[in-house]
Amino acid sequence: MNKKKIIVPIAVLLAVLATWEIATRLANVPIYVLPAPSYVAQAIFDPRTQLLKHTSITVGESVCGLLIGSLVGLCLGMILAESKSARLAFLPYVIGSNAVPVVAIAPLVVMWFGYGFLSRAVVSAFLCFFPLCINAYRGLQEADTHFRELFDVYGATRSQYLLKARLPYAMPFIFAGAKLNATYAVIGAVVAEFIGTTAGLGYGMVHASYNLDTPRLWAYLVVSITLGISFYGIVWFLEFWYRRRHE
Amino acid sequence: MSRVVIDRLSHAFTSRKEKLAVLDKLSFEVYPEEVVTILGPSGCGKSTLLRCLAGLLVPSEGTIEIDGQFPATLRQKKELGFGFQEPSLMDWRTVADNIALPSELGIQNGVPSELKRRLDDMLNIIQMTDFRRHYPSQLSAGMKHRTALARALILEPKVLLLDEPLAGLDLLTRRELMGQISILLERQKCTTVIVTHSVEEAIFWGDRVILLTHRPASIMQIVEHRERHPRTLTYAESIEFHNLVDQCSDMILGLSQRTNE
Repeated sequence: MNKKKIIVPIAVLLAVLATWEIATRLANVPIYVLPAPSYVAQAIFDPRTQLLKHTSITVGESVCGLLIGSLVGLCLGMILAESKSARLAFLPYVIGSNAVPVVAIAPLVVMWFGYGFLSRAVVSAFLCFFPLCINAYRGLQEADTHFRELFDVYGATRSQYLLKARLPYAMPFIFAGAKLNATYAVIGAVVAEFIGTTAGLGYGMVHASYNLDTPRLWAYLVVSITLGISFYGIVWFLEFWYRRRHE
Repeated sequence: MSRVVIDRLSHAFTSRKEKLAVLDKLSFEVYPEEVVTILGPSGCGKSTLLRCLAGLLVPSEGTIEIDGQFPATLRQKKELGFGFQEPSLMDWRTVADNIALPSELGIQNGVPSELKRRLDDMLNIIQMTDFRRHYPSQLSAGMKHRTALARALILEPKVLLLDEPLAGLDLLTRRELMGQISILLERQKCTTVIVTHSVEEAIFWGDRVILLTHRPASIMQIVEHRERHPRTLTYAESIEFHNLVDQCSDMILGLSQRTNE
């Protein structure tokens, strides 16, 4: 890999952190308004933050939401691509589902599934299903312009066409959806944790903001961003591995 | 060997607003092992005719019979090979896997060892043996076209249909492939219909050249050409070849002028 691709973003991050640190100290910005990065770092390592406990809960919910949401999205995308009647009946609602604000749906899901792990995983899955569904649907449809007639000429069955042409062709689209989902899964879980829970990064953020403990709020924020980036990295690696094997 | 009979074939594309007639009562035969090339102005319906021959389109009127069977029946038996204008190779499959694709589809009726022999043979003919494990993204445009051609021939079809097999290639690659396709046609000995808008290609490959009019296409002229296959590039330089090219070009130009008037 090109070293510049790693060095340049890290250099930019360090420059931003340094500027932020110096500016907040020179301007005497109150800590509850904008804490310097060093205060955020202290909060991260402060045992009272209970970062490991909250992070592990959010990771569990996000992974569960990511897997369920992506699987449901992929299956629905395949159904939409395969069946014209399914497209007619469901596509408008699938698109409409993307317009539902997750903050509004979260309290409803909590009412339906209770205050436990399940409701938070469901909110995360709800946020994850759309990108994969639409991307898979588009990829599977686009394969038709290239391979439909080729497979028709040789009398291919529907399943042969799906497995040998449509799905492999749609893989880059599916990975693009999965990369979006990697960050959406964390967002979904954190937003769901805002409501009626006693653990998780979202709960930690709400608790810290009530107490005007801004460094700790930033600490949870930094960890949730890091989680999203890590999930993205895992999907990126899976895609890299897949492409190396198949192209 | 197969005989193709086309009888009063007409086709029109209909939409809610209009009806676009593309083919108009075409009747001709393609004899066993014969190579017929279809030549005509751009957009006259050559590819539509080929799709009807492959059973991919149901014609509005008329019939197509291949040894007394409908094209769709032949397709299901995998006795029909089709080469598309675009190579349509699968980026995730190697050259060898792309060529072998037809054997994996529909009814599985091939013997693996026989298929392997044919695959090796085909790679040898198209001079791609060293590239069998390469992916399409690693190939030149000419190599992609050769791979697609090998895929159309791998099951030793009774009838071969080629739609503009050299479309989008540069002059040198076209010349090189013209000769290679002629060698392949000689070896395979299948009944072949090739659609092209290049007069040179049509004369070079065809035992008969069918000239089509503007849309809706009907037969303007059939030019006989009995030079033995395989035809070499030396033949493409001969006076006889150039006379035939001039003759066909004049007919097409005459048609264009009449249409413009």
